[in-house]
Amino acid sequence: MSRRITRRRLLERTLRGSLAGTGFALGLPYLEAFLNANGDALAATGAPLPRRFGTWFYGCGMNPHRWNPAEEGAGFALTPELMPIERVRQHISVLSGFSVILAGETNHVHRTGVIGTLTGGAPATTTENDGPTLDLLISDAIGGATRFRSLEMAAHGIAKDSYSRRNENAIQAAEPTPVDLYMRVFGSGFTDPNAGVFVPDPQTILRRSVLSLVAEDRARLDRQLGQADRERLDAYYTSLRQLERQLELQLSAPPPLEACRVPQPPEAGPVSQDIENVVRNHETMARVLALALACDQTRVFNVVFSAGASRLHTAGSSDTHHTLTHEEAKDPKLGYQPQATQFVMRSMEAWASFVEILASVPEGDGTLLDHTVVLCHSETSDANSHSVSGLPIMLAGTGGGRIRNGIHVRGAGETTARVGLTLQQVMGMNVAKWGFKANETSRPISEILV
Amino acid sequence: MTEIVNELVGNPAHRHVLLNHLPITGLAVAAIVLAWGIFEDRWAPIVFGLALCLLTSASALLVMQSGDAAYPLLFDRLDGHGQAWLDHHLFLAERYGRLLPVNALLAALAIGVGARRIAWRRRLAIALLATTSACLLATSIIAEAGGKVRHDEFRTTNPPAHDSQGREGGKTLSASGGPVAMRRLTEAQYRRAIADAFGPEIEIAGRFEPDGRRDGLVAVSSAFVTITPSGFEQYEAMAREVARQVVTEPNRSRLLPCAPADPARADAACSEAVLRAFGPRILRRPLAEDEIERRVDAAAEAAERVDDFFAGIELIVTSLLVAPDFLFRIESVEAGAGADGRASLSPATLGSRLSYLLWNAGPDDALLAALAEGRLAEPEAYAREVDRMLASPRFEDGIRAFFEDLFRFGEFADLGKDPLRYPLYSAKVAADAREQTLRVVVDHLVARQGDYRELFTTRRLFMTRTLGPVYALPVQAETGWEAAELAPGDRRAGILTHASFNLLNAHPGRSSPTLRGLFLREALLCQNVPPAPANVDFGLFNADDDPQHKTARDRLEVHSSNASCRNCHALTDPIGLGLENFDGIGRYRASEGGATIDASGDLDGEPFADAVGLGRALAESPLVGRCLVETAYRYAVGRAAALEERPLLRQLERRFEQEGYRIAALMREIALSDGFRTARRPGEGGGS
Repeated sequence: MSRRITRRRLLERTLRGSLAGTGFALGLPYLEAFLNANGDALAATGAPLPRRFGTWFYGCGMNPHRWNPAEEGAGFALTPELMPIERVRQHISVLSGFSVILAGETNHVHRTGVIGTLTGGAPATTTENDGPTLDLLISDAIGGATRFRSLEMAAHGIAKDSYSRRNENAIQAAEPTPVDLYMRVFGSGFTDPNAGVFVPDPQTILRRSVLSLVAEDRARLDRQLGQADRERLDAYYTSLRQLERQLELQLSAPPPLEACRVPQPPEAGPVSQDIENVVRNHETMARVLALALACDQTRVFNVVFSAGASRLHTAGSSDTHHTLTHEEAKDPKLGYQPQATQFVMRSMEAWASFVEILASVPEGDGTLLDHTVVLCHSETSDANSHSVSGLPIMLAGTGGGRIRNGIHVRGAGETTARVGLTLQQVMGMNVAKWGFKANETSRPISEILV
Repeated sequence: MTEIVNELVGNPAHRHVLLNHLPITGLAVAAIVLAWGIFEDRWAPIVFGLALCLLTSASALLVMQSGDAAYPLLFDRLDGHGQAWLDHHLFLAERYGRLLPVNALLAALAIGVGARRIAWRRRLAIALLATTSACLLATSIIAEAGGKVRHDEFRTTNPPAHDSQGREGGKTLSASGGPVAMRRLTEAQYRRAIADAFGPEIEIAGRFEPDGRRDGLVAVSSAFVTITPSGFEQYEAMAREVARQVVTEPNRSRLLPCAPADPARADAACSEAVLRAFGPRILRRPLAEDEIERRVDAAAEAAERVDDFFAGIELIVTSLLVAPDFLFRIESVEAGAGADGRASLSPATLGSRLSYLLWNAGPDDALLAALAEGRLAEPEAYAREVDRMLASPRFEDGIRAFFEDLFRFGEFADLGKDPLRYPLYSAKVAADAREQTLRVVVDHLVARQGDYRELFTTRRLFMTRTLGPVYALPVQAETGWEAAELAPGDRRAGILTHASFNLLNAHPGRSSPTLRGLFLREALLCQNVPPAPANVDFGLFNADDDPQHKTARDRLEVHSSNASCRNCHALTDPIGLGLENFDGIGRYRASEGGATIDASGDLDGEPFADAVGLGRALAESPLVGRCLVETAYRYAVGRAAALEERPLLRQLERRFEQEGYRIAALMREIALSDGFRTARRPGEGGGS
């Protein structure tokens, strides 16, 4: 019986789709009156400008005594390791002193810090409790309207180094090169919202019927499975529905978007963990991502500049950032490891340029960054001792005027779950409490809330 | 009494260690008292001795109960060697332990009889002295094996392997093994499935969901991973691209079993023929009639919509390639389990499990036919099918896939080396190094049917021009591969000295004795090395550019001089340093920073002078064969072996040994085993 119903639905789609099949074109007004009078909403639909959330991760932390600012509030003096963000400091708030509270759990090196910040608690083992991560909680709430629920990218070129995880068995792989990222967003399936003429692709309708065919097999398969595997099959069908939703969107004309420009495809260059390549690929990815956001292809993104226990290195050196943090001698005069610290400085520079790129795209009465919040974080503070106390955390962008930028807040050893809770609330989620065990909290960081 | 002891010591392992002295020391005291009573011929010491016999013999029940309870807690914390001793300990306890309750009964009887019949007292005492001495001997033998579980320093030899006969009567061990698995196809399996169905000409472009690794294997992780939204997007795009190629000329005339009456119209008969041709191959099972009907209908609608018969075929092919039962190998069991909770795998599942184990590919037409006719249910026909598949040239693919997984060669994809430090290195060097080792493995194990352990000593090699400079060997062939044999006494022998391992287990700019040692311990010896503690004092570490410490051995010296490092690094570094003559890309070097490299060391007490000696020591280690058996079984069933399957593993191990460590024999034994052909029924209830 259920088969018949589905077949009828299919027929309805067929009838609807026959319009598209004939190559019917829709003329749309464009490039004029994009926004309403206040400049904060799209004139075409009346919908507010999209709000976005992203994470930006880099590996191996910093030197606390050279990174943590001394003064709180606005106008704090930049410390040596924060100097690279000087040119964008008005867009960034620094959150120092927030920690993953271990309370008896083992500090799983290069893991507890990042998973702890993103899930709101210290993971009990090296293989479990990996999610859902903050970005997924947020994309579940705000990601449904766009073609991609989220976009993941890894500037160091390793797809599996992604911290966007539904759980330990569902890690959302990252786009490992600028070309992959570009093709995913602006390759086939992309509709320029400002093209003016919209021709739905008849292939899209055929693709949808494939997915509904597959969806009909579900009950039969479910019967064979135990609980754990049923959940995995459920994840498969969630992914399938996500693609159905994407196809749905492709069948209607997207509203025009002033900020959207289709970028030139990037050239394929070397991809490796050589710091120079990573910096270059990161910048290209940031530019593609900025336009993906401006074209409203996604509202959630995750950037990995370098993985935890970073293997970034400089050409000709036998060391990586990670091995340096453990093996390089502290310079007695300087009081830190000069080579390892060089990687911290390069990471901070990359973060500043990421912020700068988002801030360079005008949108509405401000920039893309004004409608975005980006969480910058790392898995350790002092990487030499794998410390997860006082992790380096920064927020860039105001998320549509909801977050204060340009200030420093000292966390005094409190849980990083406060950061995650604040961000969920800023993104409009109705969450009063977040985190688990010793990291559970109901206190957002009120100092940065507008 | 049990409750009191339970309260005192909650952990059965502790309780076992505390209590086990009672039967041993107690029986010894009882024997002395009895002997004294016999000598004096007095009832008081005799009855005291008999009472001691009774109590201490009976205490063995508590010891065995706590031992049984401790077994599963302890087993997973032990390395392979300790596990073997634990199994042996249990085997001895089950065989000889039952003497003690009997002795307790005899002692009770003797007290009863002796109280009434004065004349029998001395004779009873002598009899009990004899049985008690026998019990004392038995408990000492059991305890000796138990001591080796607890103290690895006493484990100088290996215990005999035990087959399931010794353990089937075990009290805590039921016969039910693991559940069925639902395994995501790996990239290699996906590519192979497409090539098998549509031919190798079809190109596959796209990014696959990254493989994980669990219990050392991608094959196990594949039974846990899911498909994420971005992963599904990729699968759908790949499926469409494959389908597009299938219906373009000249592929369409080559591949499709029929041509439509009118290429611009739907043709249900032809669509159905296409589906019947490809469906079973792709889904690894016969298709149900309603599945066929729905797809043929959908194809007809598609064809009419865009006036193209082949659009419908594309739709059919795409729908097969994005189906969950293509992307996952979903296993199922037959209705009606045996009394022990185990059920036979459904024929389609058994066929798929078998072909993926032996070929790393889906069933071929012959196997599908055997499935459809229900022939696999009959043990002899099943064994014949196993032998046919072992004899097929595709068995090489299966062995290759197994060793790629075991050796973690998937990590070659993310490998990077510093071009300034290693100007010889290129992506081609890495690809050839990987292929070289796999060629040696397949040649030795399959073509020559060699002893697995000889992989670590063989001097046979395959070379390419690209590898020539890395090995400092002349290569005649301008393109492709050529067989080579290293001279006896060469600095290389065995696969550990290949570039592949030394490239993979190293940093971008230097070698890593720790990573290499870790790989040997975990992958080849199945031993667990605990992770580093978070609060390591790296101030002790000697920096790479420190002029005082030129070689890795010097720099790693702190690992052995500092107690908190030593525990784990004593497992990894000494054997990893054995490979220090090979740099970060596997090139030979006699010295580092001007200092001569000392590659000597010992593998669990077996000394070696260099990498060749390390290979020899490894080949002689009894753990190497055992570890391969465990890993192959895990690979076959997609999960770590359940506790109840230890006896099966011991049996497989013994067969592997008897068969001269030949891989085909091992795979055959696994395929024929109950553990492979049956599974626990998935939990009832909660269905949708």
